[in-house]
Amino acid sequence: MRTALAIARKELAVAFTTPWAYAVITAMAALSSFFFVSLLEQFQQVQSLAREHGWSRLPPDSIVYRNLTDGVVVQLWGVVLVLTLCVSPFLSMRLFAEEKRQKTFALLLTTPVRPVDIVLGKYLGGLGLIFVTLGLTLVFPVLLSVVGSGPSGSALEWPTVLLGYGAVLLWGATCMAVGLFISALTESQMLAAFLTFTVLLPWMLLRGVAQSTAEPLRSFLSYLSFDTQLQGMIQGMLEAQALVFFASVILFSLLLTHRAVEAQRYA
Amino acid sequence: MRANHVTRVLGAFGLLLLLSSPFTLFLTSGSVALAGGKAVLGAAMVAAYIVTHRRELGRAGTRRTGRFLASSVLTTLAVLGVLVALNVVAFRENQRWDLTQARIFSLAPQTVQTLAGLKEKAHALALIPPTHPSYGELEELFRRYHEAAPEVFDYAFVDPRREPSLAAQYQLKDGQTLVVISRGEGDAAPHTTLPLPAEQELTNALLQLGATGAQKVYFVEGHGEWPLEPPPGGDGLSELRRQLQREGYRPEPLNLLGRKEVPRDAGLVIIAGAKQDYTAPEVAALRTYLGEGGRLLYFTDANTEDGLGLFLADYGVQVDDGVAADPRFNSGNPFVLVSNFYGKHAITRPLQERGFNVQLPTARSLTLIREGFLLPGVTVEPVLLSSPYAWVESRPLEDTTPSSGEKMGQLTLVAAASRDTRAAEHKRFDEARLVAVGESELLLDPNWRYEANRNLVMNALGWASHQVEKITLRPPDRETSTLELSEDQMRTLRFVSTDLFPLSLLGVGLAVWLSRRNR
Repeated sequence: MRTALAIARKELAVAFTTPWAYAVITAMAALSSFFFVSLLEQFQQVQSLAREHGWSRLPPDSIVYRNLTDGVVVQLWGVVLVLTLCVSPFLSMRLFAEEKRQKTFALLLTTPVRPVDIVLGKYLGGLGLIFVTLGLTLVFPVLLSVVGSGPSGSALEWPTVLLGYGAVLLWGATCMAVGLFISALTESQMLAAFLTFTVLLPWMLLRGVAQSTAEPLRSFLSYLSFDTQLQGMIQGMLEAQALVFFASVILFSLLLTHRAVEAQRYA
Repeated sequence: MRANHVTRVLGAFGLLLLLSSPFTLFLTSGSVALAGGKAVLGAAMVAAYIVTHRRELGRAGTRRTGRFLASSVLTTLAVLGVLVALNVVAFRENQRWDLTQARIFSLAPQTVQTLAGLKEKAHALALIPPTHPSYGELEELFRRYHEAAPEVFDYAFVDPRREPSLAAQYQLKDGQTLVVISRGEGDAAPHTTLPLPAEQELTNALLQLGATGAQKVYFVEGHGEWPLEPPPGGDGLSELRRQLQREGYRPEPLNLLGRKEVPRDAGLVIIAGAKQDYTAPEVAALRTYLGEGGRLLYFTDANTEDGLGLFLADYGVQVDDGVAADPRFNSGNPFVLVSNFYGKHAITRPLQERGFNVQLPTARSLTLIREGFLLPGVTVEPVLLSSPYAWVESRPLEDTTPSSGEKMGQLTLVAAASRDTRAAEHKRFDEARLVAVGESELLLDPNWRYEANRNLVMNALGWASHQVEKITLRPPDRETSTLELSEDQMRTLRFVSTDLFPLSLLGVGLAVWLSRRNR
């Protein structure tokens, strides 16, 4: 494990000394800021309409804007999930592919480091990177809790907010695991990023496909959909099945990565 | 291109075809023939590759790489198997923790209590196409009920387009949806139907099914009433009896002759079109029954006498002689009234919501007495009325126009009366309930298929017989929170969020890059 942590530290050090990571982190921050401000303006508009005409006169969909957590934070987490899907392939693509391109990967394999340490080290490094990227989004609920107010004092339902944030991190960890495996298969970073996105996007949207199928396929596809598993969590409901599902995807991706790294010894 | 290169390409294509055939079957075309064709073609191409490269593959199998490949496949499959098993267990035995303040994703305590009190297994069958916008919401609701009581509540979804026989059984038209809640096992299990229920309706349906199971519905006989079992070639109430059994009631005939009282286990008594007078002791038994908080459904017909006039007058109902007629709201015959004029009563609310027209051929109208004759504490309400153009035709065989001396205007066709009986000796229920309907032929088998009339009867029966009060659940919601930002505050927030924040990050990145570049 110590070796794995050393590799993770090295990965993080490399990432935070290259402009690439900062470009991705900035893009993530800028996009989520943009959506945060839009949601906030929308929330204010609907609240002002409600003060004028009453909630009963507004369309039924407006009810979500009665509460700051539902109206802004839950929706913001929904946007951040989609942004993570777009950003994470760019953070995971270089983990193995860059080493392969620079021919340092073969060197790494000749050192007395076990493949499992390499995989874990790379994954933990990638995890650190995505957690820092997503960590910045926590600024927005903190800002809201400063300016908003509710009858019980707190403007936000913090258990819901934090569970939603946990869902965002879990999703980031999953994207990283899938991206790590694909990065281990190729030496082209762009190909790795593109393939990761191509795998994650339909997987995320599987719920839409499930809706047009009949039981029991519907339940099966719906269960496999990342979107289905994440929706409950961002709204404040923790389910054991979601935790098991994401842990399974991460573990299986790491296993496949391990086998792909091991295969390099036999190539 | 050499032959083994061609077979290598064939092998790769074959593998693609083989692996993508499940997608063809389940996601894209859904055609078994197409998916099967792809799988067979793919397998043949892979086989061609294996045959032409068998030496290469044989050599590979003996080498270390072959062993690695085999162990990798086995390890991957074993881990995949364990993970799939874990996920199956997690799906079946799912645990939820609702972390919202108002517990908006949890069932109400009344629902949990109702589920805990279920003595027999309840089953929900949703007849709804998978593309319906409410499908997901309904599935989530059923899942919560099932997770709260996995032993007693289960559910299934059926696409009515794929099961036309089931849709026909519940008289479901194209595009309509229905949820059938049944209690117990088998096809004959008592059930009730609901259009897309929310938690409140679903819990009330479970309560109703639980309550009706113990209720006997007595059909009085001996005065020419319509029989529960029709004689060969004759009219009867076998469809109504079947419907009652399906909803969990126990219909039985009752002859009051020689009895001092209506049996104590009566949940409801029905008088379905009596044609001869009741004897004085029979009327006394009925009077005592209602006085103790009984429930009675009374159906009468034109040109009949049953001797129950004074008894009904106690509850504010007087049956008019003659036949109700309406020149405008009819089905082509002024004596076949078609009405959508409803009183403000729980019985007709669902009919009003669904826009039903009730049709009553040769009905008698009712006069509601609100003072004088009626017993103290009685309230009587109109349930169904004719249009304001109606009249009571006293000589229907000779005349089809209103004549002088005939009652004219909006006529009451169905009325409901109730009386507080909490203080009664030998009390049965807290409230006596009576529904009087000026037409009994709507109960007969040939007329039972007419949906609006059937709904009117079953709603009247439900209102009169309910021993269980319906529960009211407030839909849970998060508490209201407000945010009032001035234009200046909003401008500052916008600047900090969309400008300063990302620029600072970019600045840090630029500084790191420049410092490394200059090193």
